[in-house]
Amino acid sequence: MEVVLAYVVGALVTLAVLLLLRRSLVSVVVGLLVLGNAVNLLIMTMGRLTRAAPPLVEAGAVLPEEPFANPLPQAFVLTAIVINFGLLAFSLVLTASARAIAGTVDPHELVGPEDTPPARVGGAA
Amino acid sequence: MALVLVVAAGFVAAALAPWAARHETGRRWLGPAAGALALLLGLALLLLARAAPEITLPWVPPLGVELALRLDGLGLLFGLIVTGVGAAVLVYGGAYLHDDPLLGRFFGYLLAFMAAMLGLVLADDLVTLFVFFELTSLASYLLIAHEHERREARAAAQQALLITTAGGMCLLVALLLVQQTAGTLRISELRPEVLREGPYLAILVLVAAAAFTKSAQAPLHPWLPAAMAAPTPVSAYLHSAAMVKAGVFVLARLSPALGGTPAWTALLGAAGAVTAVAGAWLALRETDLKRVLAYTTVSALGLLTLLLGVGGRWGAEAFVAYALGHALYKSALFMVAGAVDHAAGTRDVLALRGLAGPLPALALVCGAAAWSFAGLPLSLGFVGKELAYEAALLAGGDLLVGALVVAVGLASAGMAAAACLVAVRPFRPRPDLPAAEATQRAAAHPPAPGLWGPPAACAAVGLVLGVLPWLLDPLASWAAGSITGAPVAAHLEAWHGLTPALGLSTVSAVVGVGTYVAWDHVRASAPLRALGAVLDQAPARAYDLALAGTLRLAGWQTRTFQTGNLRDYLAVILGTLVVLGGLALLRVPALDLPAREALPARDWLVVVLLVLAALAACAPPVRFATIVALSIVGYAAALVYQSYGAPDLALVQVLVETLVVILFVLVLADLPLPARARPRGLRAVRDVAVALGAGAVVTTSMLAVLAAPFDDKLGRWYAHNAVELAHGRNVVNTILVDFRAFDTLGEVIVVVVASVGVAVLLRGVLRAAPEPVAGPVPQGGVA
Repeated sequence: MEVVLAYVVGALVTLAVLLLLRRSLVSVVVGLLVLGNAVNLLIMTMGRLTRAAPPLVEAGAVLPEEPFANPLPQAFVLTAIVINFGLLAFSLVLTASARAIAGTVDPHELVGPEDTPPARVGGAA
Repeated sequence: MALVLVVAAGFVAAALAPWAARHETGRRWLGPAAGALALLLGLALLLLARAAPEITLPWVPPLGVELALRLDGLGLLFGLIVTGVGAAVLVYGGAYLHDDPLLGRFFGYLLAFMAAMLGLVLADDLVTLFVFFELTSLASYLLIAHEHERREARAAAQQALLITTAGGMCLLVALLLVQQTAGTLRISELRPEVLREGPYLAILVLVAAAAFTKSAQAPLHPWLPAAMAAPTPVSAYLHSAAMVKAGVFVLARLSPALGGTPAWTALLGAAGAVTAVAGAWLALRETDLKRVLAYTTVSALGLLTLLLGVGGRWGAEAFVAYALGHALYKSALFMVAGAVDHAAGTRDVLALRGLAGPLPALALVCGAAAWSFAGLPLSLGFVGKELAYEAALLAGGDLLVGALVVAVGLASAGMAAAACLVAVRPFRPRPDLPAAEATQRAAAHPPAPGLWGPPAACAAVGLVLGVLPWLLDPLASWAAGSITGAPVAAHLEAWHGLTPALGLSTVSAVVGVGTYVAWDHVRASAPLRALGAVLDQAPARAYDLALAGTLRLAGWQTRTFQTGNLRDYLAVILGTLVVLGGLALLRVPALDLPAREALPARDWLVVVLLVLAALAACAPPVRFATIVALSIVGYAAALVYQSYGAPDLALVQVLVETLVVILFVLVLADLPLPARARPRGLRAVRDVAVALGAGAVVTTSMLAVLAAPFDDKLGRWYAHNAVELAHGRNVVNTILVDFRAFDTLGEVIVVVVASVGVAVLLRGVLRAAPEPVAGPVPQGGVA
């Protein structure tokens, strides 16, 4: 499975990069999401996979039953999933406000804000 | 510790100078006070000399870098030049710039320069040496640009900085090579045998490059005449006595370790000979007093390089005498040139005549300094030049002797002519001609004592030491010994008797005077023009082209990479990753992958689903199906986690994926978004190439990691200690909330910050788009 996942992650990264390079912030956000999933799978795979053996310790025992899945990448990925979600939520809303305020999600048309300050987002009220 | 204090005192004084210059009294006494400080520091060096102190303070211990200072003969010689000439120039500078509003800053830089120069000559650690070497370049830059409103001054400062710091970079590489070869940075611990085993030639060339840029060896010299844009005190100090000597000083300092080889002699001898001759004769094309002096400084520096190349006892002795003599007379002449400029309003030789009448004191001082400049008997210049001839005559090999003698002779003749040009032509009484405008102005503006006193002191010391050169014997012996690396018993004499050297001196002096008499013809003669074209204009043009080329390259690079376009940045960053990652992976040997195990159909299904969903999510435009596909990607990943012992991950992933879908739909209600024109042509090819490359690099590196043995020590440690140390049965949870709790705290903070941001932005978005809009909302639709 590890080898198969190596190819799968490669494919996901390819697609994610294609999305990131596209001329729409919405596509970029979609790309970020795919990339996040790809990297999480990468971390898991690099810690090696162990089928159906969560790193849990039985009641009364001190050590988990061998073999058990490597807990460290799981901890990393758990953190990463949540952080990814924060990043994604923020960039998604940012994209939406760009669309609502500037009327475009094209980064090309969003350049040059130094010259013309954009309307304040929070200032809608 | 005393040495550290000597160096630090200059820096402290530099910091105080601007403050002192704020008051009228302070301005008046700044020059004399700084001069007194310089004299005191010189005296301190003299008093310390007997003990030959050294001090080593740790600086960057892991790299073996120390702040090591050591006072030896060479250090004392240059230390005395720096403080002695420095004292004269500082007093002179106070008088010269008495009404300059930037006087305080000027003195700050000048004193900082003096301190850096002292640090350089006392350094016994190569990094210490390098730092002070660069500090002198920096001070020179700031001082040349003193009159920063003038474009010419700024360009000259930039040129000096670029050329000398380029040399500094060479020195840095050289010292790294030395450290790798010799295992030490201490100059006094370098052994020539060890260095010759290593990359000797590379070290030699790099050190020479540093010294040649700093000491203005042809064809790297054009920055020095250009630096005459600096105020005259700066020219008198940095560009005659002190900073430009830093280059030859570094060569002298390293000559025990690097010198004595054929390569050393050839490189330094050739560069020095060409520079010595070219500088002296190029000087004769100029009419600005300061530029005449600048070119002869180039010549003198060439001669010093040549003497180091010749080496041996005679070379070292001649080097010491010549360096000291040159510092004394050249700084005096520069100060005189400045005083003439002050009084007569011009430095143009053609406009100056008969100045001896209105300016007798200056005429006398100028004559005394030029006596030494021309190398006439009973001057330190004479002693130095005689020794230079001796050294040339005693060098082994007939051809070498011939070449060296011709070089020294031509340089001396040119300098003698330049000396007449500087000292005779402007001052000689010309009752036959009507008084020039400049002469009349000079009569009305007699120079203050502060303008002729310091040069008089320098010139007088030069003459006294020329008459009684044996006073220098202890210093010369010690300094020459530091250069050769073996004890030298130097004995300097004012009169060597009727030697071949004296004959050569006479010939060169006669040729020089003859050249001066015919100067009006010589100045524009074809040979001098050709020399100027090859050795002066060509390098200057090369510098201009290099500078313009660099700027154009920078412009092109900025336009190419800084497009202001997000996609281009991403493509460049990812492209770099692909190229560098790919290159690294090329070095990985053939992969020894784990045996292919039979995958259950369920796993295949999940994997295929994952890829297909991602493909679907990739298809533009972004519509509702895209979001569905995206969530399938996430759920499929959750299934992978679920199968491979990570139920927590699967749970969180499902939760988050659901939230993502809700958020997407909430925020981008009006799907599908209008499709953008897809990239076409080259850009599309580039995008696909970068994407495929990134995927390939990721897959290959994953395979490379999988082929390597896996060490699960860390994961096991957590699993084995979860119950005992963290009192938890879910190992993943104990890692998150116990072992790595701070990590989790940081993560929570990130999520909180993100949600605050989302909440604030979302309010704006929902208000801005109260109804589902079909087209883009017009600009400013917020209100």
